[in-house]
Amino acid sequence: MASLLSATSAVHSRNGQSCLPIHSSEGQATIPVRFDGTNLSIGFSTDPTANIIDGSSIDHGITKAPYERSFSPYEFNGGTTLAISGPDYAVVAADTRLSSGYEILSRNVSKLHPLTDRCVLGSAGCKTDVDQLRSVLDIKMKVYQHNHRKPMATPSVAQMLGNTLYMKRFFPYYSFNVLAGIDSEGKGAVYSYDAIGSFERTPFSASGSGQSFLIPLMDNVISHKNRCDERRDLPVEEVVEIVKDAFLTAGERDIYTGDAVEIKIITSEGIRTEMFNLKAD
Amino acid sequence: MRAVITTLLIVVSFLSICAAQQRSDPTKFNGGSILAMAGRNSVAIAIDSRFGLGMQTISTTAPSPDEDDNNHGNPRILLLPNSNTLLAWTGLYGDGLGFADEMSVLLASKVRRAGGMRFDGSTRKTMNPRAIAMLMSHLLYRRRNAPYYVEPVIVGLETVLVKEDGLMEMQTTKAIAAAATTNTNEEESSQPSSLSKAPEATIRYKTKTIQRPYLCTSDMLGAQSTSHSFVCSGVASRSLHGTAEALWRPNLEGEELVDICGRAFVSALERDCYSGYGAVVYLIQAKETTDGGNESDVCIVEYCISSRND
Repeated sequence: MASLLSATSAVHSRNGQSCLPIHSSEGQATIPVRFDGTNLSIGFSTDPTANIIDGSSIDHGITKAPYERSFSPYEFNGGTTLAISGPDYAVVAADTRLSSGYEILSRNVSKLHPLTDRCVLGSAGCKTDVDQLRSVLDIKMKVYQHNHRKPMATPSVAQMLGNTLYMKRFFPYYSFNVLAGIDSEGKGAVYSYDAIGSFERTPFSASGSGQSFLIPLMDNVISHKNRCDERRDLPVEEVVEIVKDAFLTAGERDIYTGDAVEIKIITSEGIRTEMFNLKAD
Repeated sequence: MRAVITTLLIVVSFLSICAAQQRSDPTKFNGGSILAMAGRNSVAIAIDSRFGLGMQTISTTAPSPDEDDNNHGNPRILLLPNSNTLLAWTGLYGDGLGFADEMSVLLASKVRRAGGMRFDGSTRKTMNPRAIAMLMSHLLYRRRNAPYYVEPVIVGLETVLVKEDGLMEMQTTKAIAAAATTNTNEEESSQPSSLSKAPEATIRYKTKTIQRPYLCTSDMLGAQSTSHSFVCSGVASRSLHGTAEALWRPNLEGEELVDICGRAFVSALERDCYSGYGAVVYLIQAKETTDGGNESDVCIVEYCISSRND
């Protein structure tokens, strides 16, 4: 006999009614359950008119206990992005894998999108929302260019992205962004965002499925926390090597990260791209 | 910042990932994390000291592996069955205490049965960490329907017989016969052919015993997971996987191993509010002696790592 304790601990609540989740190819589905002594598998019940779900008929009892299906507008397509800022450069990297559930949809999809010559947006999350967000931002950048006759500076792009995300506060873009670029003084700038547009300028930023593997490592190596040795400024080549090491780590331990890493190095001269292969498992 | 996204996702997509889930998950309710790393002839295990009830921190007692009283209030509960093995677990503190009692009693009875309580100079047979891990898995699976909500980590050094050039030689009958006797294997093991069951030519080779690191972690039902590099358990295990994976390299030794293990541990704990308040690293080290690794050459050293109190 199945343990009642283990069964009740697996129960969730939907609309106030206890339900057991079941696997369904169409998404989430649940069966409502009631623990009141009438449907235990002991074989008797105190109330002769109790609603015992009889699973012996051809439809497995579904017409007696209909379950609800629900549609979720969001899907998580996986991936990790990482951005690091330096005194005169910014490095942003993202893996190139697109996944859905346990399947890989593509090994060669870019998560980085240059908005200007000095500014790159990296986004992980739901690909369709990311694509739509990019389209909206591109249009706004063009409008700004036509109105002001110059490309948008990185801090302004950061503010605009924050506002764009907040405009969809009650049905957000499922997009976890990092923005990397060179600000008007020539220093590297990295901004981290949440899904509804709250942002902050930070020395580094990681988002996506592998963020919890990367953030503590960056704390130690880039922000130099919990270390006894002297802090020194890191040159851009060393930071790129650190980024590659970080993605090797994330690729090992996160199933959604892998295949290849696209690294963009932004300096006042422009944007340079590098590709680095990861394990394809 | 991140919490805002997650609360939104609950509203829109009915995912139940939120701060309340941490509270309803028994293995994460009291907090705590453990990281163990393997080096050359040594292992290091790092444990934290936080004991909390959800978000509220109750106490931060540092661990103390005193043989008289194993649990001086440290919620990670260190057990030292031998000088070459160390057990610790994260999870629900109450279950941790109960499981520690059950393990201690059974380990003591097994050692006693193997004649370990004699002090007449005869060699005491130390229990292999692998055997202790099997015992632990058995005890956890015994409670399959109402488990102990603990996530144990076992680290130790096991005595193995290898050829002088370092390659493993465990399959020949000579090696099995040599391992069955007590460790007097430094001379050429030219066993007389009457000892070996298989009719093979007598191969002469020099052997030595080494102390090989053994790392094992388990889920609450006893499913083991071993590694040659590192294992971790507890609330910060995702962060620990990231830092340890990046910072570990083979053939670390002694204080360098403690430094790397401590660094990976403290960096990961900084980003987790359910563990922290101090880190202690235990290094189990086997001295490299000319007459081969004796159990008496294994020692455990305690290092306190300074970390911010949060």
